[in-house]
Amino acid sequence: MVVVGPSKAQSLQRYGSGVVSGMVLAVCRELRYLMMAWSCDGFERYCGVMGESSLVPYGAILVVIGIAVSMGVGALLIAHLVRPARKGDVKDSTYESGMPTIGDARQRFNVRFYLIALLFLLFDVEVVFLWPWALAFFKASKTGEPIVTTGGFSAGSGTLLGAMAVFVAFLLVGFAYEWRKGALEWD
Amino acid sequence: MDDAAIKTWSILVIMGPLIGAILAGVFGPTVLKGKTHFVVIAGVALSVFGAIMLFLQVSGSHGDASTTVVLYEWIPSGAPSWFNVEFRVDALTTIMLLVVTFISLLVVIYSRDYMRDHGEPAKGYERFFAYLGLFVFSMVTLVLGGNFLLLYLGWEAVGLCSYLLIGFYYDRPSAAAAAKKAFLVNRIGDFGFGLGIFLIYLTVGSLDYNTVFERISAGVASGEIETSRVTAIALLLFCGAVGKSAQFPLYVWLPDAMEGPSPVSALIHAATMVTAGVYMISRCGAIFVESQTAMTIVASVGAFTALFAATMALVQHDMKRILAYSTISQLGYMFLGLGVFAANAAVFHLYTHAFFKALLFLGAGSVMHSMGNIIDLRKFGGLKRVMPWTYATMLIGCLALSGFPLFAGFWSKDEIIHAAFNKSHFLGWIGLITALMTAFYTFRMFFRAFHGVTKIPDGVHAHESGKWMIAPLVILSLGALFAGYAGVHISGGAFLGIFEPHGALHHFLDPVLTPFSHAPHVEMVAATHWQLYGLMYTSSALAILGIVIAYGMYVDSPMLPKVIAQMFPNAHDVLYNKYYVDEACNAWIVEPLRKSGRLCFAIDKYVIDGIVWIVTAIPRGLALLLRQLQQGSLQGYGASMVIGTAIIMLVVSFLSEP
Amino acid sequence: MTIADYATQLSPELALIVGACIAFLTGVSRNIATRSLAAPIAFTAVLAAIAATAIYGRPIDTQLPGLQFTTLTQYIRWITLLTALPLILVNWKLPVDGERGEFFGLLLTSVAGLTLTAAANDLIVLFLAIELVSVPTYILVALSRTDTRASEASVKYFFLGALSAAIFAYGLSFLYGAAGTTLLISDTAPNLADSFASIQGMTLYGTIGLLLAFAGLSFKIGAVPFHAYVPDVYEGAASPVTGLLGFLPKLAGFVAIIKLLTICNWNVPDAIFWLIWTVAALTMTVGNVLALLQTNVKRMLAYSSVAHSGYMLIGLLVGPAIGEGPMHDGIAAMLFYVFVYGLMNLGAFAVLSALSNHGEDCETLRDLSGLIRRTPALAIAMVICVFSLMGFPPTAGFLGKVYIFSSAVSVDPANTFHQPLIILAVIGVINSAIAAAYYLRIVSACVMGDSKSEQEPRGGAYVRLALGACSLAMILLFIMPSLLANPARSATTSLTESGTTTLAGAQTGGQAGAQTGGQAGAQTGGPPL
Repeated sequence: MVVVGPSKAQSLQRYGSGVVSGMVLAVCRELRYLMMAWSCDGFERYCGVMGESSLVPYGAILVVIGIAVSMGVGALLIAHLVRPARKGDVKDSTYESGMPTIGDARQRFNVRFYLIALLFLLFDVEVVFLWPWALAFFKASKTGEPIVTTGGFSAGSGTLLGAMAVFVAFLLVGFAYEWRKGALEWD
Repeated sequence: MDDAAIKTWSILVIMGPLIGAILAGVFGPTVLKGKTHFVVIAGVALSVFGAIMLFLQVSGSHGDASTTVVLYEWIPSGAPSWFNVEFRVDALTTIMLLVVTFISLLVVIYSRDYMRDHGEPAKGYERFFAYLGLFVFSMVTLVLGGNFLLLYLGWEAVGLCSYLLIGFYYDRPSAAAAAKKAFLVNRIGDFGFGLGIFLIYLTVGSLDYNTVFERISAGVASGEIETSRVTAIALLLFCGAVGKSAQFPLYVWLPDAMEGPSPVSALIHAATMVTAGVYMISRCGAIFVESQTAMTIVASVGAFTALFAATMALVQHDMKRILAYSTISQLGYMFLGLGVFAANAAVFHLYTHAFFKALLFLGAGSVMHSMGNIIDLRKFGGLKRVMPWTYATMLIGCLALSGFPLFAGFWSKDEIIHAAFNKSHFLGWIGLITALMTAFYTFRMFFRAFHGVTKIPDGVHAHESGKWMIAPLVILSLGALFAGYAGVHISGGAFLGIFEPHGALHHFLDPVLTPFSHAPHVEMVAATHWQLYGLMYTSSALAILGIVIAYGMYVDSPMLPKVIAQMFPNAHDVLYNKYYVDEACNAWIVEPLRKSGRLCFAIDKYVIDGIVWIVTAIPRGLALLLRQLQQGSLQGYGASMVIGTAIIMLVVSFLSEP
Repeated sequence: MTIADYATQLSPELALIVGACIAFLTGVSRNIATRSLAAPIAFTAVLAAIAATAIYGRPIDTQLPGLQFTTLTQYIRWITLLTALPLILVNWKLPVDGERGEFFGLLLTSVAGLTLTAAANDLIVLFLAIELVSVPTYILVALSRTDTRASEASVKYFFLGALSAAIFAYGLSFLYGAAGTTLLISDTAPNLADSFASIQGMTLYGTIGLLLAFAGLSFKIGAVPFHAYVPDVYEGAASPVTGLLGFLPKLAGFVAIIKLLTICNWNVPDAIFWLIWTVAALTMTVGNVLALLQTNVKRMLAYSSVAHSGYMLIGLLVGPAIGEGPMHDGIAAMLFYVFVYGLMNLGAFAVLSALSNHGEDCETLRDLSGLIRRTPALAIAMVICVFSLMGFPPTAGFLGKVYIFSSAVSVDPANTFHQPLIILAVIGVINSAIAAAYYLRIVSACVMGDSKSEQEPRGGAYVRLALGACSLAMILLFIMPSLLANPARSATTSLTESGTTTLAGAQTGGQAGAQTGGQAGAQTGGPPL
């Protein structure tokens, strides 16, 4: 039995070249297709015969990604080009709010940080579900008409309230569990 | 017939013993212990009840010869299904079921006491009852099965149970050897049997009884199926029957099978399992009658075995062995009957034989139990006073076996001999001579065991057996007395002015055994009055003569046998050593086989193993190679997954290259 | 359609989830008697789910958003819930006090995920359901033992599982991109099945999406090259949990693959056919060959688990032949096999769980040596389960293999893929022979080994009960295979619209002249170069 650890990191390097070349090849092919499709009139054809389906709206995302990447790279590049280069021990040391640096940045954090972060994330994400529900409930209770989804599912405001009650109940079970389990205590 | 009722009762017949056996096997050692016999007795009793209900169904129906109920389709494979789990219920089935379940019930009851030492359950008590239940289950499956596959399943399963029960005292080397011998000899027969079933499937494309029989009859009539092929099928099936029913030359296992406990000898190796071959041939009459050759071979093998086994029984000293040879001989009679197209007589004999032979074996077991497991007639004698019940019941059994007039064996044996005479006088005379010998060796055994000076081995407390053992003996002796009357008319006949052959049992069986009576090759000689009844008187006279000779030799002047043995030393030795068949087998078959076995072993070890090593080196080498990839490192696994995905993507994109 | 439809149709899953919540809450109780209630609660929840399935669970025509209840759903529900009972029994005594609530809560969640997978009719629901099956199993592995091996196995399993989930989700995003919808099948709304009805409809993106999804699911079923984690995780987890790993994620993976192939109407590009073909052949071979070298029974059974996925992939490749029954219908054969496999695998691991050797877990062949002399009942059960794994009569494993191989050779000879499928069946049979070599080592260790090893029974009546149920089921399903084969036959009725078709068959049957459909599809759908 071999344990997990960097002792076998060389295997990654061994495979690494294969992975990288494979992925690079695949990505290159994709880019080649994309560029060609974009440049000529065939984008619709590229996207297939899917009718409404089209990748055109995603072109904007590609542009955003391009800008984001170029801004990041550009800032570093420009800084590199324009800054004066004066080497020295002090100059090369890590900047840590003016304090002298202590040890390596790659050290172990207390696992509780992760736990708290995870719990925060969990309950934070639940709010994402609450938001559209609130909109639907608002609409249903205001108009008195049941909400009908595309799938044909209809629910009045009472049903919606009940559904959210169940949702929150499940959430509370999790909350009660983590509380009693002591996940919220630091010590 | 009511299909639903038939289905219900058939399931009851099958499941009763099975559940009993499972309960005995699972809970016997821990919970039930000394009470294990109850579950098996209850299971078999249910089976008897089911069999009686089936019998009432069949006898109550007029017109329907048989009915086949499909339980379910084994492997659903769309239409048409090629194999169903189905039961065929007709007169033959019900008669067999009644015999099998009823005798089984008595034997299981008997075993309750027999399998105890001084009132305590013997070692393996639970195992014994579990095996017995399993045997009854297998046997009723064999009988009820509606196609050749189920027949084969039951056939092999009873073989397995027989093996397990012969080797019941597995710590005794002779028992282990006997079990092995029985198994191997049966394998030879079953090999042929299996081939026969394959050939049936190849010929007609089905294994269902109804379909097979119809297609073979029609095929032979229209010339589509050659007679030679039917002969081959019949002979291959017969090969199985020869093994299971201990006919020449595969009879050698049966005398050795007496190493098993006596109830087992009574049930499996006398009354039920060994008659499976007779049942099978009666069932497959439609196939056998199409081949004159096969029928002649069946008759000849039967007649020869009957005589051959009887001669060997003349000089044995082991009570159970004498009975074993007599079983072989009586089975020979049954095959003789089948071979001369008198299947109803054969089944009739099967039915009466089951009663009196089970009785005799259980009686012998009773003696053996009392004598502290000694069964050699030279070591005890004159037990008449010591064991009065055993004595009386054994007397009835012996009279029935020797064909004494008005006892069960008389009617059925006489009918077979009569049918043999109709076919060929030679076969008939063999039957008569064997009848004389039978009467002699039966009473030789009887007189030596029960009459004369009381002689008991040292250190044995001789006693009459308990009520659990006596009750089955009494019931069976009633069967040995009266069972034969099911096969005769009681009014208006010419024998003794009262009896007429061909009774209720025959009429009941007739619709099933039509192939035999309507066979194309039967040339029944019109029986004259003398042939019909004269034969009965003759065989009665022969039976009485045999008994008188035995009385003369073993009671009146006990020195006579020794004198005769000294007069014909060679003949006596040959018979006593069973024609040296075992020795011949050893010298001519077993030893050469063993030698060639050694050669094969050497070839296997050095040549085949070498090749196998080379062949298996491929996967092993591959494994060693692949093992390198399996190194337990998470990163390695992750990398292999990503690489795998990348390769898949690349391959597919290039395969889909425009 | 109202909330009541949800409540009735999803009642089995609701029973499981509510049971899981209660189990979680008992887990944090201060009262030890309450804490030990988790296992009975889980058992009751599964029984309630079975009752709900029997009462409400019949296939309906109408769809709920994201869900569709077909005969396949019913079949998967039944076999999942019926396997869950012995699963809970085997695990009954395993978790230590303080972890019981979590353990059985997670177990129920995973089971609910599996039944939801079978009901999913939307890519997102499908993904969530699959993860609902997988994520609890990562934790169960860690909970199963207190030593570092289990933690290590759990971490490995988690990271690789996350990687595979990423690949799977990536594939699903391609499918969405190609069709513009996440709905699998629908009569009214735009859906994937309509988009991919023909090979022309499946663009290169569709193909790639399918491939990536298949790759992600290959991890769940343990197919090559995503099998590497299987032996390590199986070995690291305690035996009762290992028995679970062989069933829940594997079945979920297969169900998801069936769902994805159904939307293509079993009519996929050549490339995908050959991909699955290769993966099936490699999976069988690699699994069996590597198992040969093992002396650790758990590792051996882990590789055998890989190999069995290969056999099941054959059935998948043959595809459904509606109403033909498992002798000809590959999917029915596979569905038959997967249940039988779940039980026989669980049975084998249950034997290991029911034994200890000087207080240690029984894991190696040496530990099992001479078992029949010490505890004959366990040895017999082990022999039955191993014979079944080997595919030896009179066990259900034999029929399972017969079904799989016979479905492969019964494909229409006019079909392009007739020949390759026969070759694959031959590879499968050869592999069964190789497999016998290591299975028989288990049998010989149990039956013929010397009894130097001192196994002690443990785990009480629960494990033995589950074990008895598993081995009896193996025999029973051999005697009466129709009990399972008939439901399996009807389970495939919902898989195609056009009746009898096979994954390979649709090419010649459905589309005249398009022998190399994959290339043709790419030609019309792909970009000009």
